[in-house]
Amino acid sequence: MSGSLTNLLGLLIVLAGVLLLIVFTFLARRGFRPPLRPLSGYEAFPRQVGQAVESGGRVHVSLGPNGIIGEDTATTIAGLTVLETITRASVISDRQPVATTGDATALPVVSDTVRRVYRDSELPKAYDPKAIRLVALDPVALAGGATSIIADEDVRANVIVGSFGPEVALMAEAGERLRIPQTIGSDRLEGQAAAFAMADHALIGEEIFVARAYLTEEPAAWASLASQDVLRWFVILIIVIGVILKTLGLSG
Amino acid sequence: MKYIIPAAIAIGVGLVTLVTYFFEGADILNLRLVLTNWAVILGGLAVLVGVLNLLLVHARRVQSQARGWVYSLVTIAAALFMILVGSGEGLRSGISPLYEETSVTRVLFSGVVVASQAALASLVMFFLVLAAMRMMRSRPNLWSVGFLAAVLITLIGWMPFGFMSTVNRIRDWLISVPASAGARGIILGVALGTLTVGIRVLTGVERPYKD
Repeated sequence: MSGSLTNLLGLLIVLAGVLLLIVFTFLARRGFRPPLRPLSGYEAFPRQVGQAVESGGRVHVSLGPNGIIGEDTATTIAGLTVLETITRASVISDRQPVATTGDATALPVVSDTVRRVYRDSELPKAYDPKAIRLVALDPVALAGGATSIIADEDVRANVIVGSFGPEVALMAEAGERLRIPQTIGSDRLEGQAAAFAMADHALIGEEIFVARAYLTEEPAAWASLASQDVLRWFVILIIVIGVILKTLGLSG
Repeated sequence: MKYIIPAAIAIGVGLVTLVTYFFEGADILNLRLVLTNWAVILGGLAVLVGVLNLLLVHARRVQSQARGWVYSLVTIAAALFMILVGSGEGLRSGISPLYEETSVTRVLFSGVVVASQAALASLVMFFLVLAAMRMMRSRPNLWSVGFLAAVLITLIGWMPFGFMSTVNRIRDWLISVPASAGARGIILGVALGTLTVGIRVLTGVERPYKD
């Protein structure tokens, strides 16, 4: 496929996405809610966090080695949604979730997300900036460093959503030793394989990006989920057409 | 106004960066370069803030003598030592000491940091095989059996013995057909998820920068 055709197709998908988001947002505000297929990771979330908070422990949320100025920014935003939800659920206790990141650019945004929840809950003084940690600037060092946080800081639930590779196994093993519930999601295949084997609940593929639709009641989030589903069918259609054209010998 | 200005900046910068991927032109590419350079500068400043955060968190642990505080003390000492040595060598030579074969920074980096990371990474394989075994106990279903079988065939299939050519062929087939097909599906899903989040940010629906 030529460069200009690829660009055109890319632009077409982006424009289709924008259009779909606008249409579905309009519909969602009028009561439309797309069917949500069960995702055990998100279904177990309230219970996991609730049990950790009620038992007087804290939740560890790792947002991974991804930042906000790279190609994995979307993963960071997905992780922030999860962090926000967990912080809202934890705000009733005096144990703020401990959030770890491996990218310096993500650190201010992570801090701001947690601080905003405490401010919105009218408990700004309860916010502890030291519970937001830049552990290391390398994925393996982040995973290794977070294992000591999981072991030493009374962590009762382990939630990992980030651009992790197989090194996520180090964190998961630390959680497994404490027998705490774990939910792990990654946008990388190696991380997903480790999550499947080691976590109670693994978020596979695009599942980390739909956190807002599953964890909040926001019409915009439902609209986004519906747009994503329609785009998926669009891509499948393009693939099928491509296969047919190639089989018939009609492609370049 | 508090919401509009950050949203306008984020949407504007996002659109400019996006447009440069689809349209060619020297002016717009230069604009993207300027924005990218700003992002790199901000990233550099963020590292300083991050290092400060790291030192403060560990200083607090030392002060309160929290569990494992000695490790925090070692972390602070190591970080300060590396900053001092790295800055000193950088100022003296005028280039990053990591590019100098004989610099103390480089020796420490490759001898301590890289070696420790390699040691940690080598543990991952054992944890994963252990997890696959453990999964058979905690979740004994068809998926777990398939996962364990794939892990074992792939691991054994890498052994370079002539009599194992059948296992090698099965491994090759596993990697190039089912694993590759599944991986492409997952990668497409991740790409669509990334795209949707990007569109949410560009349209101002998702505002991680909101106050």
